[in-house]
Amino acid sequence: MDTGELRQRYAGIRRRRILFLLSLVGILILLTGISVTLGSAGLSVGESYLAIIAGIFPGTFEVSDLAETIVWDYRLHRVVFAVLAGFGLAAAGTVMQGILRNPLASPFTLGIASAASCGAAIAIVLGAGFAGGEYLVVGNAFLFALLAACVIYGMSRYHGMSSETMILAGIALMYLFSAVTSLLQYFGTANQVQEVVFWMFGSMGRSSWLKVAIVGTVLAIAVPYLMLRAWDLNALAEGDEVAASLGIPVERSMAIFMLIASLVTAVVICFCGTIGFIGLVAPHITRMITGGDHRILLPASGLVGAVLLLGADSLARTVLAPTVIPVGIMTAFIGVPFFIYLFMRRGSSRW
Amino acid sequence: MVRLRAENLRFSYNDKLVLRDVSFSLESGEVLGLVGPNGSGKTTLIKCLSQILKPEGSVFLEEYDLKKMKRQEIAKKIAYVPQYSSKGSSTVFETILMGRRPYLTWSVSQEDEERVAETMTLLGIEEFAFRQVSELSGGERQRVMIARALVQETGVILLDEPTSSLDLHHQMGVMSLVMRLAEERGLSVIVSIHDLNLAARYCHRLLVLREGSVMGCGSPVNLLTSEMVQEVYGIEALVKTEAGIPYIVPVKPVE
Repeated sequence: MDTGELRQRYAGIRRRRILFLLSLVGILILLTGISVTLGSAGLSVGESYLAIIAGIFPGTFEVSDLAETIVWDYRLHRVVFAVLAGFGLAAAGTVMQGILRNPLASPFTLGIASAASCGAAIAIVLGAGFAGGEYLVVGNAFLFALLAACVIYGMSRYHGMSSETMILAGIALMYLFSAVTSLLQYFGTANQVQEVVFWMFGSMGRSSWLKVAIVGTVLAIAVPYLMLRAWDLNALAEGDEVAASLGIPVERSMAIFMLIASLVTAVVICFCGTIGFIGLVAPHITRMITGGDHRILLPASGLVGAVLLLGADSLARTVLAPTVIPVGIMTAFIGVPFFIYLFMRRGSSRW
Repeated sequence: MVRLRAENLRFSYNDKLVLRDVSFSLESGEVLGLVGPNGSGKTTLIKCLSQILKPEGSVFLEEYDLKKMKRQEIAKKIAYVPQYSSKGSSTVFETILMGRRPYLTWSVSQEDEERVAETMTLLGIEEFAFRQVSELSGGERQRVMIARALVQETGVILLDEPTSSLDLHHQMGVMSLVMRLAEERGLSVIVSIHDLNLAARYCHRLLVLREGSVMGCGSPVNLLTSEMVQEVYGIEALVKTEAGIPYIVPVKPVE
């Protein structure tokens, strides 16, 4: 094989990856239309798309007020929130797995999700928190999630930054926060316990356009920054020492990447409760298909996460309609068998 | 021409002193073998030279003090191949491309791709360019890591025990490649290595470390004596010479 042939084959691989990325975008658009149609109002897929387009570009199409109200006020923010949440959780998981070089790293195994639950439980049972009123639960969940991330980072830093320390510290924290949550449930009233449990299931039912805007803003800052530093993520995935010898300020970069991943996770799960599975599995599935270059892995993984979460939420709304199953349960039901199937087929030699 | 000069390098992990005033110099086009028993400070010295660890004392690169250089600049001057390479999910091509990181903008230029492709051909690893690094054998992976260091286009390459997990054929393959690169391209190479016979065959000079101190530095012929081997490794050994290259016949450990 000569130089030209090697470069040609690399170009071919890159073309296939971009095609994969585009097809994910296509699936997501399709799924959005289907998901908006689901429900008791009997809108057709065509009507739903028209209502979406008419809302974005007023005057382009004639849509009934009913269709527009149902789509824009009731359904679309839930769909968009699911897309953003799935993207955010998967992107955060990708960054954590990359820089910690550990297939177990995810917002769940690092204790961030259970810290958020604990914060929410404190708000629900004790009524204590950092923010008042409507944002008591959300504020607590958010701050506890960040607190957990800071504790893990501090501990591992004190011990010299090995990825195993970080995961171990995270799992230890997970047990601690779970214990606190259980204790609060033990002393809480039946209503409070139910509210805590329901919060922990994870659900898209609490979405709103304001929440979409907040999560969207965080992602709009975090994702381009991560993409810009995709090469640094690639180098860190090869090991701290290799990254350092390639000119990367390792400790500072690790701290920034961990902070961003934690922030994205926290802002998502404080609004929708703990959805642990996406952040662990979407990066794995994507890595099997695209390989480890974060320039493509990061956006592709985010899109896979978005497709998984939106798909799971759509199913959750239909299988037992009119009862809506919490999406956190649904993601595990459809994702885990698929994930195990992939690993059985491909072998787990690489992650 | 002296390319790299280390002066009084000291380093300690917590309170344990691992390097004690290590000084030496490295010429261009030279392969310097770093030998010594386990725990003598070979790996630490290599990490200090590449500024992955920050030692006391100074490392000068063509008269520039490394302490005053930025990481990105050092990455264009010194490449490092760790003893244990990661088994990442990237292809061989992309892993080697990572060596271009000090020069890369976000997208990959034609020059970057050409450097990678040429280097692969040079090391004979082009046929598995698009396999996963994790699927390769130890010898193949070692060549991939050396290729990554080469596309970094540095004057100095530091190799930490590149032969430790290889069979005899691949050990000689890697070491003769290293020697060839040094002699043909004027690269300065420091390689830590356990096998004294291999070191004597492929290194221009040896630096002997014991408990973090330099026990001697010079050509294999002058340096490798049965007294030296006994003092450093605590074994009784005969040192013979064949075709101008010394080799060691171990006899027994000294109690």
